[in-house]
Amino acid sequence: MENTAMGHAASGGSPNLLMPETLMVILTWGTFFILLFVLQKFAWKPILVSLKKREDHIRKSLEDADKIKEQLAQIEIAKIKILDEAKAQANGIIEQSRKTGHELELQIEQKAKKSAEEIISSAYQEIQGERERVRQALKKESVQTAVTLAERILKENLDTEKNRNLINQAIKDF
Amino acid sequence: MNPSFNLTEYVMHHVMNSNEWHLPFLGPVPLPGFLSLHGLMVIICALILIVLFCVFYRHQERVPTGLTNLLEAFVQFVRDGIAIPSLGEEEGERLTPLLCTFFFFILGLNLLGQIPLFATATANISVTAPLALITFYFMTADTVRKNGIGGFFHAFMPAGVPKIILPFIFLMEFIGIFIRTFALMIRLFANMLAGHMLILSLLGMVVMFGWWALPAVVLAVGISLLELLIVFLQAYIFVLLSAVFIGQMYHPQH
Repeated sequence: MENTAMGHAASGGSPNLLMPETLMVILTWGTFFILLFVLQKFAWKPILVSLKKREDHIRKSLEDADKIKEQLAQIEIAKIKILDEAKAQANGIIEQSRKTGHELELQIEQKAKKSAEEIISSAYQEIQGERERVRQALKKESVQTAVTLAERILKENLDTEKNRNLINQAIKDF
Repeated sequence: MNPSFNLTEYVMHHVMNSNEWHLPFLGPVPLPGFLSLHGLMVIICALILIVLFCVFYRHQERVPTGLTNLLEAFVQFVRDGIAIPSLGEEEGERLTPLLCTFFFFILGLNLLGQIPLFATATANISVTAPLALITFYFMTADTVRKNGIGGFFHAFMPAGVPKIILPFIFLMEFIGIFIRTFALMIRLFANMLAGHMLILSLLGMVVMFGWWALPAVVLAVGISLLELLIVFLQAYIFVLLSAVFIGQMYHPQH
């Protein structure tokens, strides 16, 4: 090993490219180890720590994203299930309502029919009663008329022809 | 042709270490005796890295942007792409700071060499050798600390090898750790040196042959762009091989 700072012989001798120089070797080692020490303290350690942290963060985020994806898929399945159930329930309710409506319709119809029959029956009875009452009144009136007519016939004492005319007149007046 | 121009001297003058720094308008600035140009580059690179990571890097950002994002991407790449696959979870995380320092230090030195006025310190074996020796330390002493002396020698005896050739394999594997360290040192040094030598040779041709060598400038630009790729590639290869070699010693059965 040459003990000079230069590989190129300053003295003018032929250069020896393959001969290491002691000072240069020591300088390279010294610089390299100082650089290693400084960068280890201020660069490599913080960089590797931050890289590790970031990797962990990314790994965790990816895992979380996978979990969320899985949860979303489950939620989607649950949503479809709930929607299907709701649809089925709605269909059931509609069917039930239709049935109830139909029954109610029948009930109302029957009730109305019954009520109509009752009204008709009541009206018929009322008409009957009214007719009876009119007949009674007519009967009473007829009797009254007959009595009046008889009274007039008896008071006038007329002949048959005259009597007949009188009766006709009375009937006409009546 | 310029007969006074010596291409070899011109190239060697630019790639070799020197004790002066050529600055525009100031001429060659002499450096202190203990400091060479490549040594200065090493210090400048370290200072730039310290400023980059201690001033411009923002720790508080939950979602990093800009420069912080870029730096974190490199650190994460070294940890997840090199350290943990080669060394395992526990040892990978432990050695990530060392490998990150290797990566940014070599990358910084390589990139400095691409800037005019600066020099390529990694084209100097005195820079690549100590870096490779640090890897060697982890391949040997740190493996003994981790696996014990038995575990260390166990790495030289692969399972399933017939006993008759085991001593030979043992010797081969033992020599292998020195060869690997040597290859690590030479690979970075040679690649960075060769690229610069090629570019300087092409540019030197312009000085030698004048306008006739103008296409060489275009070629030099192309090689410079290739060199930019090599700058990153060599930093990556050094760190990757260091991690692989250390991992092979830490976990010999794998």
